[in-house]
Amino acid sequence: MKPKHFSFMMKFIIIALALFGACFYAFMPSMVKFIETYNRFDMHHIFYPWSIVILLTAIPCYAVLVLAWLMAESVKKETQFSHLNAARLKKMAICALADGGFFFLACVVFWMFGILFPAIIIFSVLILLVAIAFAAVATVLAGMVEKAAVLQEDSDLTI
Amino acid sequence: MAIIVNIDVMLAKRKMSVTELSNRVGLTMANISILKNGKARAIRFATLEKLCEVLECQPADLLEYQEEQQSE
Repeated sequence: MKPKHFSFMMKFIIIALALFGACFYAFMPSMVKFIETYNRFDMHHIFYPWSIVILLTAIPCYAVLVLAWLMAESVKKETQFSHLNAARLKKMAICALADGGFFFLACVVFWMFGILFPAIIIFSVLILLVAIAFAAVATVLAGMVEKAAVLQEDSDLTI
Repeated sequence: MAIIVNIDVMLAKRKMSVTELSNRVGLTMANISILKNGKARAIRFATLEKLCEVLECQPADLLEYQEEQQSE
């Protein structure tokens, strides 16, 4: 696959994820109201704390998407093996860990305050595991890109 | 870098321009500049051979080792 096409595909996936995320965050209040009506749960007292936590988790997710977009740009320019991209992957790993960790901690705090459904704590552990897995993959990739960047430099500076 | 590439000296001795060297050796001006500025990480034997052939010299005339001064 040509770098230009690969970059286009990456950007398409990033835009799709960003739109999906935006839809989720935009329709979240309506979904909660629907669940409240359908299941006859009183969710009024937990609506705002949960909304704030869920909206805050969007920040690292969109930061990762911005970094991925910048990496897609570098793929297009065929400068993907650079120290800058290695640093971007490390930042992605940190964002993923921060997001998963924050959600898990929020769940623990809400559990202590008694505004947490028991099923959510299992869900938060799952989110944390996914975040750790993503961070591990991003860290390994960062190491590989760093090494590739050094080899690329060596190759470019061999006359 | 501890290895100095004395292309300037040899060019002056042979009264040859950098452009002529670039054309005859088949290296780009950018690569000649990397060699001259000491930014090169390595040099291929093939390149060294062409440089020696064009500049009518030995590899030792082009390359020189200078001990690096350690900053305190």
